[in-house]
Amino acid sequence: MIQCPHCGTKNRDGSKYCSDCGARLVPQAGLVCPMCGTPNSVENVFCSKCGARLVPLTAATLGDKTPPPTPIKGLSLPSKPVETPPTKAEPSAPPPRAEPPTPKIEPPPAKTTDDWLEQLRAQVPEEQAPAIPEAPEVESEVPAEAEESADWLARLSATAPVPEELSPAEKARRAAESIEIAEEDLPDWLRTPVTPSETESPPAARMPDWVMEVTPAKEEPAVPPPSAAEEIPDWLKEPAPTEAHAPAQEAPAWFKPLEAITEIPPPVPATEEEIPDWLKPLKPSEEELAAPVRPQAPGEGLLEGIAVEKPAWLTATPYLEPGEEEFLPDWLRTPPPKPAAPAAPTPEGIAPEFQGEVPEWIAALKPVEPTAIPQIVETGPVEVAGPLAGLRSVLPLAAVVAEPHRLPPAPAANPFAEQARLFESVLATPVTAPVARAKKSTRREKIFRALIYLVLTFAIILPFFLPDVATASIRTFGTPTADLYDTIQALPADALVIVSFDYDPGNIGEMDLQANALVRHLLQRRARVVALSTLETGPQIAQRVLDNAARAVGNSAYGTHYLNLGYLAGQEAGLRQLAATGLVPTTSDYRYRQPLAQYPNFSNAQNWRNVALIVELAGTPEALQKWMEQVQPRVNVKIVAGVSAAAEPRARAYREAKQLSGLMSGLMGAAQYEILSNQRGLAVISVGAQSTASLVIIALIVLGNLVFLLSRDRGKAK
Amino acid sequence: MQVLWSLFDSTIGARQAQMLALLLVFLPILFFAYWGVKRGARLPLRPLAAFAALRGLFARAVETGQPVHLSLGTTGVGDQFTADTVAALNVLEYLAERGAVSAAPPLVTLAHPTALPVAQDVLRRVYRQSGVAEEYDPTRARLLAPDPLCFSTPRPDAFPYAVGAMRLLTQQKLVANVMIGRFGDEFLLMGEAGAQHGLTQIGGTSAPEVLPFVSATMTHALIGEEIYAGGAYLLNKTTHLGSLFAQDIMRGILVAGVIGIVLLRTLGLL
Amino acid sequence: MRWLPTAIAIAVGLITLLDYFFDLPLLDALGIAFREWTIILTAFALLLGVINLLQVHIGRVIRRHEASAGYSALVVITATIVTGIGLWFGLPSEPMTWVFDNIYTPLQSAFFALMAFFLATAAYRALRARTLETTWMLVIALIVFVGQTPLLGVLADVREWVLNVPATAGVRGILIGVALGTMATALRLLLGWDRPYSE
Repeated sequence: MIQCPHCGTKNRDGSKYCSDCGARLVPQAGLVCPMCGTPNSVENVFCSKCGARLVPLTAATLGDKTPPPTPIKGLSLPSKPVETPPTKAEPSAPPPRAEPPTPKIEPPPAKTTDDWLEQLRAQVPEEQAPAIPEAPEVESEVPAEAEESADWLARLSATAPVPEELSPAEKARRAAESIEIAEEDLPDWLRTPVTPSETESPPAARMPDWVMEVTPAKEEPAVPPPSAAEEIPDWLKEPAPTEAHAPAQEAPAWFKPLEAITEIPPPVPATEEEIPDWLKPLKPSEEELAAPVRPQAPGEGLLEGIAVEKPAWLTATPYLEPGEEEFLPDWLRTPPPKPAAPAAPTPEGIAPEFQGEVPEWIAALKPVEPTAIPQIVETGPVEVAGPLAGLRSVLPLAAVVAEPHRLPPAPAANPFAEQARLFESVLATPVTAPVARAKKSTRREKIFRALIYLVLTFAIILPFFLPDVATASIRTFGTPTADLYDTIQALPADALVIVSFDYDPGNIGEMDLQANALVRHLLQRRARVVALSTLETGPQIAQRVLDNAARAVGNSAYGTHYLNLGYLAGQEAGLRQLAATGLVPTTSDYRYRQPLAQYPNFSNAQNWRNVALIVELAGTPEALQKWMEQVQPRVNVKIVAGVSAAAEPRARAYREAKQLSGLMSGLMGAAQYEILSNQRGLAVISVGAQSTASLVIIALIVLGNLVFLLSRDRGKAK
Repeated sequence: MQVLWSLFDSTIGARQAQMLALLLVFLPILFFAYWGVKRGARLPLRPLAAFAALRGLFARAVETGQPVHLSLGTTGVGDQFTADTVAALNVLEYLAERGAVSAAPPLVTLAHPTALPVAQDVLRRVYRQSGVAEEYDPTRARLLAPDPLCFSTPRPDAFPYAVGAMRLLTQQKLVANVMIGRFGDEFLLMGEAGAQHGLTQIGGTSAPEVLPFVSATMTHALIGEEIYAGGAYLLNKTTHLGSLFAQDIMRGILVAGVIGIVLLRTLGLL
Repeated sequence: MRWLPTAIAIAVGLITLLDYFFDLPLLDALGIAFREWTIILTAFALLLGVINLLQVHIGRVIRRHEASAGYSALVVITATIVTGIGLWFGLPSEPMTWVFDNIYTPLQSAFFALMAFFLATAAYRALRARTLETTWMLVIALIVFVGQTPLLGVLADVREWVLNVPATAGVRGILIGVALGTMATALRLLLGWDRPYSE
C-alpha cells in the first residue's frame, strides 16, 4: 500500500495518484523528503515543507578543506601549531567569529626535574630501584635543547591520563588545555618562529639514558610541522626531492656517529653485562624478536614487557583490592593474559632492524596518517547574528503554514538536473490513456435505439388518423376533473373569476389544451374573466388563449367579458400584496395599458368578496405552491387548479387536504374536461397518442426485462 | 391578555406562527448538535454510494486527464432554491480543491446568472488557498444559456441549458457527469444523453417529480435531501455534520409527532 | 474588514426572515426593498452571465480549429441580433413577440417533445429487475403505465390508489426531508457558518 503524502490515505500499489485527494503519489521528477514524505522538485536542496536536507552530503559535495587532525589518545601533544602569543603592543583581539576558536596554549610553570620518574622512585626503596645507567655523554651542539626537551617531556608525562569515557576531541582539548608550558621552555622546533639572531643555542642538557639509547624514529613528527620552513630543526627537515642530500648545515654532535654509519648493521643483541638490571626483564625473547611488532594504542603495552616480573615498586598497590583493578588506568593495570597474537602488521615507518628496540608505546606515538574519511563540511551560509551565530547550514525557517512554499531557484550545479530533465521529457510525452468510460454505445445499440424512436413516432402519429381510438375509454366520472367541471358549472352568471396563467412555453403543448377548454367553458358560463400571470411570458400566452376562446365562443369582447392584467411582479411578495389588497384599481391592463378603473365591468374587482373563483394554471408544482401558501390562507375564495402531469403528485396532496376544490392534471385532465364540456378537440386525440406511446413503452419495458433475464441465464449457464 | 393576543394575531398569521414555532424548536437542536460535533462527537454516517463514487472518479479524472462535468442545476442564489444551489457549490468546492492540487479542475455549467459569480468565486478562493491563484480560469464556470425566464420563480424547465449541456456531454471528452442541484424535466435529457454516451453519472435533486429520471439515468443517485449532505461527506465540515445530526433529531421529533397525533385521533382523544 | 460581508448577509437575512413571520410596516418596507435589490442584482448577474457566454463563444470563434467554432459563431450572431431587436423596438413589441412565438416557443416545445423518446430509451435500459428495489420499481411503474392507458382500461383504480397513497406518502417524506435540509442550509447561511461568498 502506498501512503499519500498529502492526505495520508492508503492507496493500492502501483497507483500514481491518490484515490482520495488526487495528489501525485510518485513524484514527477524530483525527490521525496525522507522526513515528511513530501515530493519536491529535483532542484530542491531542502524540503519545501519541512526544511530537511534532501541532497545528502557526500564527498563530492565537500570542498577541499583539510580535515583537522585526529587527537591522539593517551599522551596529548599539542595538535596545532602554537599561536603567537600576543605582544604587549598588540591588543588581544578575539578570534574571528567564522572560525572556531583555537585552543590557546598557556605556558605552564617551569619545571626542571623529571617529576614523574622521581615520584615513582620515591615509592620504592633505594636498593630495589634499578640503577639507571648514565647515558654516554654525547657531544651535542644543543645540550640545552635536550634538557629542555626532557623538561617538556617530563611535564607532558606528568599530566593525568585522559579518562576513557571522554570523546577523543574532548580528551585532546583537555590535554591541550592542561599543557602549561612556558614559551621559553619549549624547544625551538615547537616555539613560534623568531628571528635567527635571537636563536640561541641553549646549553646541552643531559637527557635520560633510556631516551638517548633510543634510535630516533623516522621523522614523522607528532605535531604538524611549522608552517615556516625555518622553524623546522635541521634534523627534522626532510630533504627536498630535487635537492641533493647535502646537509645544509653541520649536523649536531650526537648525530655525527650516526652519520658515519653508511649501512645500518643489523641489531646486535646486547650482552648480558651490557643490559642494565632493570632492563633485563624488558628484554624480548627470541620469539618476540622474530614476531612482527604490531602497532599498539598509546599506553597499551607500556608495561607489557614487564608483566612477567614486575618490580615490587610497580606492583605495590596495597590500597586496591583484587577486584578493583578495573578502576585503574590501563597503564597501571595488570594486563590480562595475552591471547595468541595474530600476525600483526609491521608498524609503518619503523625499519625492521629497529623494531625490536623501539618500545611499542613509543611506536604507537607515531602519528596516524590522516585517512580520507568523509568529513562534514558545512557549505551553507554562516549565521552572523543571534544565538546561532557562527554556525553554518542552519535549517531555514518553516514558512507560514497557510502560505505554500515557493520553489527556490535552481542551484547552479545539481547532480540530478539532467536525469530530471529526461524524466520530465518522458512524462511530457502525451500518453493515449484509455478513455475512462463505462460503456460505449455499439452499432447494434444505436440501431436498436433508432428503431425504438421510429416505432414510438409511428405510435404517436397513428391516433391523429384514428381519432376515435381512445375516446370511448376515457373515464370522467368521479375524477378530480369532474369536480373542477362541477365547480365552474355551479358559478352564477356574471361571476368574477381570476385566472392565473403560470406556465411557460415548454408546457404549452399540455397546458394550452387545459387553458383553452377551461376558459371556453368560463366564457360560455358568461363569467367575467380576469387574467394575470406571475411569469413574464404568461401575459402573452394568456392573451392568445383568451382571444382564441372568445373567438370560439363568440359574443365576447375584451374589456367587457375578459381582461388581461399582465405580469404580477414580486413573486411571493406580490401575491401576498394581492391577497392583502386585492386588485389595485391603478393596475394597467396588458393590451391597452389602461388602468383597471377604466373598465366598468371590472370596477369591483378590487374587493375579494366579489371574486367567485380563482383558477390556477400551473406548469410546475412551485407555481401552485405559491398560490396555496400566499393567497389561499388569506382569502376566503375557492381555488381550483389545472396542472401539468409533472406537478400532479404535489397537487394531489392539496386536493387530498381539501385545499383545492378541483384538479385537472395533464393531457388526460384536458381530455376529460373536453369530454365533460362537450368540446372534443386536440386533447382527446393527444390522449390517444399518449396511450399508444404508453403501450410502446410498456412493451419496451417487458422486452428489456426479457432480454436481461435471458442474458443473465445465459451467463449463468456459461 | 386579550390585547396581547390581538397584537400577536395582528402581527403574525397562524400559519407563520406554526412555522416560527418549528424554527424555534430546530434552532437549539442545531446549536446543540454543532456544539457536540465541535467537541468531538462523531456520528456514524451511513455510506452514500454516490459520494463514495465521487471520490473514486476523481482519481480517474487525474489519471486520464479528462475533466469532470459538474452541473449546478437550473436555479441560482437568492430564490427559494438557494439551498439546492449551495449544496451543489459544496460539491464544487470539493472537486475544485482536488482539481487545484492536481491540475484537473472540473468543468462547471449552470443556467442561472446569479449562480455564476458565486461559482467563480468558489473556484477562485480554492485556487488561492491552494497557492495556485495564477492557474484560475474564469471560463471554467460557464453560463450555458441564460434563460429569459430566469427572473421568475417557479423555475421553468431550462431546455436551452439542457441542450447546451447535452452537446457538451456528447462532444467533449469527460470522465464523468455530476448533476446536483435543482432540476426540472430537462434532467432526463441531460441524463439520458450522458447515459447513452456511456458516462459515469452521479447526481440527484430535491424535486420529487424528477426523481424517476434520476434513478433511471444516474449510475449513482442521490435522492432528495441527500444532496445537502455533500458538505459533511466530502468536506467533513463541522457545521455540516452538526446540521445533519440536527436534521435527524428534528425528523425523529416530527415522525413521533405525526404518529402520536394519528394515534390520538384514531383513539378519538384529539 | 473580513467580517463585513458576513455581517451584511446575516443582517439582511434576519430582516427578510422576520418580515415573513411578522406583519410590521418597517419590516415590510425593508423586505420589499431587499427583494427589489435582489431583482437588480439578478439583472446585473445576467449581464455578467452574458459576458461570460460571449467570452467562451468568441474565444472558440477565434480559435477556429475547434470543431464547435461554427456553432459558437451562430450563438454570437443570433444573440447580437435578438438583443439589437429588443433594444431598438423595446418590450413588448411586434418583432420581439414574433421572435418569441415563432422561434423560441417552437424550439422549446420541440426539445420538450424529445422527452418522450428519451423516456422510452431510459425505461428500456433502467427499468430492469436487477435487485429487489428495482423489481418493486418495475412493478409499480408498469401498474401506473397500464392504469393510465385508456386503451387497456384496466388497473385504473389501482393506479389511483398507488398515486394517492404510497406515492404521495413517499413524496411527503421526501418533502419533509428537503424542507429540513433547506432550513438547515438557510440557518447555516444566516448564522454565517457557511459562506459561499468570498472570504
